[in-house]
Amino acid sequence: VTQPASHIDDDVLSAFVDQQLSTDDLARARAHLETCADCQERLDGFRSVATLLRQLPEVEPPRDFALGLRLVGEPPNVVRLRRWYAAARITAAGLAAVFVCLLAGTLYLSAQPAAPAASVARPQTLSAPVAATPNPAVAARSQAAAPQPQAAQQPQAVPPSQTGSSQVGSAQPQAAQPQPADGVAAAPHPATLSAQSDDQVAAATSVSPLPTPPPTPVPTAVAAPVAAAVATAESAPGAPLGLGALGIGVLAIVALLIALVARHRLQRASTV
Amino acid sequence: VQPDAGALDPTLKAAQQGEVAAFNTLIQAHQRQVFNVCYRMLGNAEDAADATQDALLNAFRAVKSFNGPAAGLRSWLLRIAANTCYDQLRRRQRKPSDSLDALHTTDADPEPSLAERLQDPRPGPEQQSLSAETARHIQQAIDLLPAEQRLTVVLCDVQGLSYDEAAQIMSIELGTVKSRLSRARAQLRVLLSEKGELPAGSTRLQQRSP
Repeated sequence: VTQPASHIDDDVLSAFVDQQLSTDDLARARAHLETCADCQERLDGFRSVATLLRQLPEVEPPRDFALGLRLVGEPPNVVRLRRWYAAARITAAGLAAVFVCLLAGTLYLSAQPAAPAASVARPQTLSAPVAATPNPAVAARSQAAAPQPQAAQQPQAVPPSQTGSSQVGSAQPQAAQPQPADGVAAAPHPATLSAQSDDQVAAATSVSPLPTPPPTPVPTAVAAPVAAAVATAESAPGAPLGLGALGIGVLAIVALLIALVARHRLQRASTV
Repeated sequence: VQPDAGALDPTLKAAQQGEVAAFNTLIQAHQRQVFNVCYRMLGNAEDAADATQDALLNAFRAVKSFNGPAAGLRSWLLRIAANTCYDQLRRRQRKPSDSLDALHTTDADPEPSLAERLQDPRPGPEQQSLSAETARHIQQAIDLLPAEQRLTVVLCDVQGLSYDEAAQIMSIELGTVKSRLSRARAQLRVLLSEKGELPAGSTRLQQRSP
């Protein structure tokens, strides 16, 4: 007879409650329990806990958990695609916005050299005298003969010495109007300008009395110098910005492509 | 009418081909037990309902990989439910304020609010014996156990599953089930004695002991 020298392990006592002991273990445990009040007490503890737990009431589910089609509708890969699509779309939009801002900044900075002349000159447009001096003639001429390339050159052509004269200034806004047509028109040629202005005196006098409504001078006036500045990015004040804009623009296009691919796959997945 | 096994297999096959209706038929018999395991693991009906829904959704997505006999479906569902509960408990731990709140409410053992009393599980007709108060104390004690012991005691004692099935659900050895269960019971005994629930229980039991 194995005398109960050592007490029974918790594991064994717990399993005893559930009658999960092998016959050998069971016999050994029974023999010990008969002589050991401690282990008997511990066994009762396990048994009482187990009994209490078994009496725990079953809880009524608050609802039926049958899966609705809405819940199941999207397999995980579609969910993932949807996430990609949303993320790529937002990224593309954000990058595009940054791109536009950078581009605008680049354009603005490259326009700076021309800007002072424009700002000084423009206010005087209204008070521009009808008197036919060579300079207003240029302005009027450019109105009258809008499609001519000289018009585009006008804003840049203003020599520093002439900035004070109202006539040159008055020329600028109107000169800008036809510019979109030939906005790419390049660097100014003061020489040609002055030559023209002399030629156009007659035309100017006839046209200038008509007060043309001030067009949106700034963007148009700026377009040509900017095009040049972007093209020859070095040394222009907006050059680093321009490069940044280029990079952001490329990233935006990449994001857009990812979004398009995701959307394409989404459509394919949903039609299957 | 076909015998059970024969009837279940086509349903299982249909569910595995993505038929929601077939899947719903499969889980119909088990969703109540899944919910109850979640309830005992998480301690409240709201979290349990969420976990049950998540678990069944996960089960639907994974049912293609279920290749056991249809009879093993319950264990499989309960394993998914257990993992879902583990996830939720882990998420709770990451939110320290929540778990602290939970600890306080269980430690302080306050009077149940009206909402809590209304939400209290209604005992089934055969289980009127246990008072709502005792049931609440037991649940509070279970809530204090480590998650693995909690699951073991919920499966074996509350749900009355065999050690074998519990081992299968938890993917552990039979011996591990035994030791976890004994540790959980030992701790519960201490906790429930503190709440004054055990003396009555143990005397009742001693009269019935062999």
